[in-house]
Amino acid sequence: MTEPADFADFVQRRSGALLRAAWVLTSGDWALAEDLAQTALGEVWRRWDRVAGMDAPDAYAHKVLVNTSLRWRGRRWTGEIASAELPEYAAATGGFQQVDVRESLRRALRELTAKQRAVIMLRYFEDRTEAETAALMGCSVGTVKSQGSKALARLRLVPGLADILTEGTAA
Amino acid sequence: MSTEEQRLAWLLKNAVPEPPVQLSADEITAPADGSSARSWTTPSLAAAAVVAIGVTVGLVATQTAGPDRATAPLAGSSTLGSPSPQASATCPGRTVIVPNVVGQSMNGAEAVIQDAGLTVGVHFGVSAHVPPGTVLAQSPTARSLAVLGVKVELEIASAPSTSTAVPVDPATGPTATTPLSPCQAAAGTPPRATATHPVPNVVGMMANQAMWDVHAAGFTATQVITAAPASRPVPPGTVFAQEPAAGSSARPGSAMILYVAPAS
Repeated sequence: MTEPADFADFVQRRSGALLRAAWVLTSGDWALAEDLAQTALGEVWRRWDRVAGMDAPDAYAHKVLVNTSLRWRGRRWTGEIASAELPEYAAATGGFQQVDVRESLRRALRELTAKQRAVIMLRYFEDRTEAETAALMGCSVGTVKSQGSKALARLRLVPGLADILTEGTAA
Repeated sequence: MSTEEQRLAWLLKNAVPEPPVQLSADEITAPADGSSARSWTTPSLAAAAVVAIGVTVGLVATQTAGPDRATAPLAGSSTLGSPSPQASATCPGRTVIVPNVVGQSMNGAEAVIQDAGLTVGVHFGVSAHVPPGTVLAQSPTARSLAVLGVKVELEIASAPSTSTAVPVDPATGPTATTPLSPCQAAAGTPPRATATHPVPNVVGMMANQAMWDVHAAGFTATQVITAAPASRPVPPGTVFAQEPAAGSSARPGSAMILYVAPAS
């Protein structure tokens, strides 16, 4: 039997966190993030009978989210997003530093592969350990480490982000 | 964690914005009608669809069409027709295919639906063409996918009424155009209101006068201008048949169909 009330409750509680995680996985595109989170929740709903009985349905949802984004590799958001806008510099944006940092982050995430984004999201956005990250992604700890360090190396090269990572003077 | 990693973690937590929207469970459990719905409509659904949509949308006040109409495939559905429904597809949750019970007796229909793992909601309506106790319409319609336990609303014929047979080509009658949703995850739609209003007799009136009377009686009307049957010559511009029949009951505000002879 289905338990729509529980599921509705679950969606309401987790929607925010899933969307923000999806934002990272989709390099900061809300439309795609919503699409991704919705697809992941659709998968959860399909198996809701079992998921509802799990110790951590949340973790399962995040696992589905990450794996969906990895499966969607080769679909829309893995491609480079061409942009006609020139990068803005902090000096030019004055008081809008928060937005500026966000834009840098978005640009930085686009530089990464889907797998690297997943590692970054799980390790640093959701503060999971390397072992947890590996379990969620269904890969080895070694892969998590190597993907993580490759991602960091790449992020260091992104203008606007390098300063933050080396000096920690963001907003 | 290195300092660099800590900074990245800090950055992510601060720079990732709050979502502009909240997801709703309804959208996830009941995918909207749309492109996916199309592929589910097959010509074989059409007979049930004509009857069911006619009733649930309220175009025709709980009046089943004659045998011609009931078996005629929907014009649109044959072009939409594509593969048969499969239980896998896009409906989340455990789903079953809603059985067709239109035309069955009420008790039989209840048993069939319950056997399929669904529940039954009963409503009564009036029909001139089927015996009392027969299922006039169902929602979700036959062969929709529904999550287990969903309520299938049935409209049951309650009272016979006299009828003016409508000698009109079914193609000229109003047809339902909405494709059926494949997933009725929540529940079927009950028929709108109970049929309480007496239907006025406007046969033989000029179209304008007939429209006036129909509105005065609390209904709306659609005129179908079509040639009267050769066996029954009628003056131009007059109503020669109507749906529902005079003297039957229908829902207040529902639409009548007036068949009007061409003006000249």
